[in-house]
Amino acid sequence: MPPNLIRPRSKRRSKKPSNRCGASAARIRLRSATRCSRRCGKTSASCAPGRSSSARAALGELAERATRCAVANGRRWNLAWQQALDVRNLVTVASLTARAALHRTESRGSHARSDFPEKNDRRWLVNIHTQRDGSHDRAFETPVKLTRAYPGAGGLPTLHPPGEPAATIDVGG
Amino acid sequence: MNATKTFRIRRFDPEKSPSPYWASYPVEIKPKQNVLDGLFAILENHEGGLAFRYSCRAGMCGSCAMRIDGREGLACRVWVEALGPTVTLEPLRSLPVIKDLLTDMTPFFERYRAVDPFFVGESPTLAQPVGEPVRVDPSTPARERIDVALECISCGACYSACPTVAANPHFLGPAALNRA
Repeated sequence: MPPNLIRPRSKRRSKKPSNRCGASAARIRLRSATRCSRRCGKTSASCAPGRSSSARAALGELAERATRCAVANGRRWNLAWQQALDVRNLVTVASLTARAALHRTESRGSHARSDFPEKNDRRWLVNIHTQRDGSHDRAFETPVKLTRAYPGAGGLPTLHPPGEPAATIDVGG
Repeated sequence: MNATKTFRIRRFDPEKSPSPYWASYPVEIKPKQNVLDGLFAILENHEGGLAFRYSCRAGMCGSCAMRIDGREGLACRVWVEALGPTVTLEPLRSLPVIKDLLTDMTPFFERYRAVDPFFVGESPTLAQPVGEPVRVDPSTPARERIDVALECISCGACYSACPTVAANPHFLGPAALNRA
């Protein structure tokens, strides 16, 4: 267990009681959700870049608040504690998701950006990985291994590799 | 259509006090909300330390069995609308209480295990590779005979409701006997 993991208050007392998150971590979660939607109105992955950066700033603020959170009632089946841990992990994942979304300057499937509305297979047919490196969220790319579907004309996927004649697909019957 | 009901819950936390006590919480209930929804509302608005077990929220997993107004049921399957203005919640009986509505199911599953609650093949079949499970044809009489017994989700409600379980520590209980 990492040393800075949130502990129930019986194990580690909060130095500043004013920083306590209230009776329930579920409330933080709800507050966080309303806060994020108020700031950008979309999921972080589909925000425009300016707003996305502010979403990341908001996530940074949430992450900071999550580390200050203390939970009452000890370790024994403490649902509030579980939720506090959930919130912390959700904020981490949201932050890494936003990092990847900022990196991908195109639209693809549910990743829809108003500043880059088109799909761009030439540049972005790649997998984006994100990794937390200390306090820095790093993004890097690896090639996509095409197995069954390939980019085709008009942005539609085809089932045969480019340059090869269309194979007849045996559907049985 | 919202109604405010009082959830009266038997609380118990051995880390704080050796004896259980009753606590009441006002819960605003929307139509078609179930007891489990009410417990989540308490967790969010009143008491983050309330302990109860849940998983599927759909009556499939059997985690949220408890005594609701003195009768065993799944919290996720009982509409609060159908209950009175005060809803009384207690943990299952005949099982050790860990905290609040949460019971230690170990005695229940020990008895369940004791009856070997599964098919035992009489001999390995020739077609069966070593270590592979034997396929039981769904249309065989033996398989059809256990159909009803397989509906049990082992929530422990019957074990709590059974007076014989309460009186006789060696009694296997309804769930185990159903599967035996």
